[in-house]
Amino acid sequence: MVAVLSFMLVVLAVRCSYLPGMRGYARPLAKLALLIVVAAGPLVLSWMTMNLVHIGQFRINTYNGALRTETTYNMFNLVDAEDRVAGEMLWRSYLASNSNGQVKRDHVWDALDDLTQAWQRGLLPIPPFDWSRPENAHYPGQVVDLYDYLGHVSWKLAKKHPLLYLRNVLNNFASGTFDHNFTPPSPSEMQDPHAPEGGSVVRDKAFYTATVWINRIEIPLLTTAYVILLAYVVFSPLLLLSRKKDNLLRDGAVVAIAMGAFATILCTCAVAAYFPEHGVPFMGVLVICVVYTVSNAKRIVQFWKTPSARR
Amino acid sequence: MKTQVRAQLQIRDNPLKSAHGPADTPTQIRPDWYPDIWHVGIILACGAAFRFIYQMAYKPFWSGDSVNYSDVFYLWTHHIFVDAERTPGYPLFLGLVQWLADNAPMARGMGVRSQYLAVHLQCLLGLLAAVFIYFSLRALSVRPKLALAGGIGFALIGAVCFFEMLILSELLSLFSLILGILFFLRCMQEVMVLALRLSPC
Repeated sequence: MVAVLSFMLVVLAVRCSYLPGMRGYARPLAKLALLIVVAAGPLVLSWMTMNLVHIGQFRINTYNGALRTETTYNMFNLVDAEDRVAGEMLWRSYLASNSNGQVKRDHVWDALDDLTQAWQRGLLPIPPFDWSRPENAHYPGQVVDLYDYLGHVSWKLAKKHPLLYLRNVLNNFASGTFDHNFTPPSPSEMQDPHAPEGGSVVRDKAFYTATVWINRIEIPLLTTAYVILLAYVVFSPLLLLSRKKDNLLRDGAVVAIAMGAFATILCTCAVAAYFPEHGVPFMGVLVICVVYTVSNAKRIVQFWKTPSARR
Repeated sequence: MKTQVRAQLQIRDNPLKSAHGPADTPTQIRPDWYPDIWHVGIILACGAAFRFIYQMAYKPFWSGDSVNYSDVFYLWTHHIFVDAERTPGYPLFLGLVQWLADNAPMARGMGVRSQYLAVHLQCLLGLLAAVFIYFSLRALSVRPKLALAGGIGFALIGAVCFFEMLILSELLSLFSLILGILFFLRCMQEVMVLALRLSPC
């Protein structure tokens, strides 16, 4: 998000420097792009440095290897000979959980017990788990090796079969990102999730039913709002390259926010499975895009009716 | 200086007001806050009323993934920093909640009081996010009543209220993102003011 916002500001700054009467904006915009990077960079870098000091790896998190298997979830029958053991286990869990048209991309967690056992028996081409290693002193920190190995196997598959991988990413984007169904758990669910005192999370059946209906009503509304966000992304070149100067910065700001949300969503699909809950942090962006569109409806209609306005 | 430039902008936007002269400039700027305060009150009231449905319908959700976050903070309290499966924002939030609820951090779980407090704080963050949406829209020069509709619209998103009940990072991410967007749009406003100050009138 930060990278895309900064990039869009740089694009806006370049655009302003070519528009007569807008050159004064170019330098402050470039400074703002730098400010965003300077503000966000230290937070990320200090966390990565902390991981470098404590686990010896300069990275944001140690989960991403395992998550990467979700992008190649249906390709584990194509693994190389050296990864045959892990491939067979993941293929088995894929077949077990993806039947009758059901798609489960995160089946790696079903296979994790088998994979851990194979690892402990030395069947995987990574150093076996060793409790005497310092990272395992209080917590099984070496599990990162297993996650990274699975990520490595997935990455090899993606490189070897790029079209299959891209098809998975696009399928995930098309099916996952348009899905705004947040069905509440059944009142009979007692395990995952459960209430702090144990048992069902449902406190009152009548209010529960109301929330089920609220969810049903807002699914099409949220999907429409998401389509509007995508429209800002698709038509961003038209907005940014327009010669109209009056609203360039405001339009540019909304386009930058929409692009940032879109890029984050697309990147999520490229490195892991996308689930509806991943869209929750972008609800505010959806509202901003919708309200800004309504606020500028007259201008948008004029923009499409007058060909000269688009140039 | 910035106030002067803003006043200049306001006079330019509405030439009728400039006829009154500079003496009444402060009275032109100050009353702008009153509708904002009124609108913020309406957004908070609508949001709180809507959240009441969710607070009545559900108890806090403790799911399989919640453990991953609470465990990170538990390990930190024992000076163990090798668990980097999750980024530190939400574990720190859960740490703050446990400190406020006076619950000692525990492995594989969190105190009952902490879980209720976490959900109530998330509700508060959701309401604040709706207010930030209102001010973000105002920063984009959206008309006050339309911005109010946007703020109320956001406060009435059931999905957000639903995720406020979950001990998961989505709500904190949403709040942080909206706060970031508000700062970004305010900076863009400043850019416009600055460029106008630099350009010859």
